[in-house]
Amino acid sequence: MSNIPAPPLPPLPTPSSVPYGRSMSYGSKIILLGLQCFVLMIGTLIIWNISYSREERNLNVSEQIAREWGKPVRIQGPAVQAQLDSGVLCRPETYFCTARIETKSLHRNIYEVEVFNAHVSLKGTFCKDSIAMIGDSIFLQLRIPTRQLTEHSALKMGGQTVKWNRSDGYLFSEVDVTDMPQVIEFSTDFDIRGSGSLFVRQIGDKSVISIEGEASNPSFRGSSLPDERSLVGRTFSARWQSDEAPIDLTSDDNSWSVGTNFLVGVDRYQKVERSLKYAFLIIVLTFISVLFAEIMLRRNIPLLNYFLIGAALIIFYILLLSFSEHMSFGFAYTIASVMTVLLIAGYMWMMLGSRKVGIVIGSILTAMYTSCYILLTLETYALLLGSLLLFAALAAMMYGSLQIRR
Amino acid sequence: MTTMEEISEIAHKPKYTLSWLGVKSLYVFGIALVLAIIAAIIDGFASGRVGSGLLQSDHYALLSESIAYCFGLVVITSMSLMLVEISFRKGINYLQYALIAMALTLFYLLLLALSEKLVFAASYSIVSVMTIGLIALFIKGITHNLKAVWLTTGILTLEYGLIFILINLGSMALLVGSIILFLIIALAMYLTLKLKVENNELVIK
Repeated sequence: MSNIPAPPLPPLPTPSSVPYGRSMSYGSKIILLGLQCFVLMIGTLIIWNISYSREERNLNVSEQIAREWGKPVRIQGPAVQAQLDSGVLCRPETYFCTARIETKSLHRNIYEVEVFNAHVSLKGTFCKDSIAMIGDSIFLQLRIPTRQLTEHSALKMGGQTVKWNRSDGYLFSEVDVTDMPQVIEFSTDFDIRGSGSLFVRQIGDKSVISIEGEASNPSFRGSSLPDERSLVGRTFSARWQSDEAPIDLTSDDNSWSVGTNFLVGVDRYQKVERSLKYAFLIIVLTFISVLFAEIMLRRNIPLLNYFLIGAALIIFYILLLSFSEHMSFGFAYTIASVMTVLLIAGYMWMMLGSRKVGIVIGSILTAMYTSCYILLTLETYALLLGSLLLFAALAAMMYGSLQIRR
Repeated sequence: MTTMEEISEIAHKPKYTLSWLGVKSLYVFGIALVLAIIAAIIDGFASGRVGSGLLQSDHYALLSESIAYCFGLVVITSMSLMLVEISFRKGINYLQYALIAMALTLFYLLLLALSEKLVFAASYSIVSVMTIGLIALFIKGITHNLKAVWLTTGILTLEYGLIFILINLGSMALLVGSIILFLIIALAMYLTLKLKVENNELVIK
């Protein structure tokens, strides 16, 4: 049989104007479309996976870039020592630490990193009696990441000004306390670069630690929650008070430390992942609208065309993910959704030969993408608005089905 | 000898129907899924070769990136074969689809073997020319139609070229890849608009 030339197509009297003649019953079509929705959801799972792995990689690279600027900052001290390598013998009676944070974003390739400059001022008092037990000349040690210091003032203590000496991981200075008053006041301040977090150890018998500034997403952490906190837009402030102090003053563990964590990377991947949650709804609603168009115009749209429309809706999320790496999320969302809406609306127009259907499908899709974006930006009202929108969509579908029966 | 009646009966019995398209698409997706799993096994094997020092790790990175495109490669190639079937009216049977898809997956094993010895770009071009040549000869044997052969060769060359560009793009690959995916969907939509049913038979107009 293989040597027979291809049989010519039988001539048709008139080529039918309907693109696809044979139709299947709507019941089986709806069941198959439901199956298709689940197959397409595998696509969203794959995109979620891509987004997740890129988020991981982005986080690693961001942390690497941030490290080059400055590591997380931990401030401990100053505390009194007899010798530099001996243990801490005396802690401040009162201890006030104020840190002002200024965030700054660094760009490299597609990576964007938030780092900070902190201006820290330390104040407090020592009790002379407990220092005098150690000796007349003592060492004061302030443990901070010294490599990230940009500026630091001298130590003012009991009326004297003493220079800080730098060492790896701490500043120290030798102080003679013989002529000092009973309550020895000290103060010093410094500017430090860092990323990720800033923690202060509650070293005094009475400690007040306050951190304030501007950051995109600060979270207050530590061994105790802040006594006062406020967060308005990007501006935040937090204050911790404590009347207790750790027994072991030299350890580097995080007990008795309080502070703030800052988001190093950007949260665009989380936004993409959140928008993926609405993918199923968008696919189902689009399929229903196309099915309505099919029933109203008494045309047959094959399952392959439905699948292509569904695939275009899935590809929207890949476009969103890839665009958002190069521009702001809102802009990426707009471009990706305009591309998808135009493609599907144009496809419906050309397929059914009716511009009205194209415009209607296009406006339904536009409405869905717009409300999805609003849902993404709203946080607390998302559920309320989402359920109201679903109610409206259900009402529109009921109205549509009434139109069919007529 | 077949009589004219028999020929016309064959002509009237529709072969390329919508349900044929549906069944064949499902088959293609099934094959692509199985072969993607096999490609993942090749990926694991390659990482083992890196561990034993036979394969350079930068070659492995490129190979592993290209294996990620296996599923798309098989699906798009098989879809274009279906296009060849419909437009040139030449039957390509299920076994032949599976064999072509296997050739596409064997590409990765050959690439792994050759990139152990050669520069990656050189081994990539040698192996892709081998694979495209094999499939083109196979299509010529099946269809005896040079146009179909050129169409398949063109599509395969484009695919392998795009994959080579994408694996070398690094962090821009997702952006370029997603735009290409969008264009492919647009092209598929355009082709379904050209696809018409006449006498229960799919034709491209």
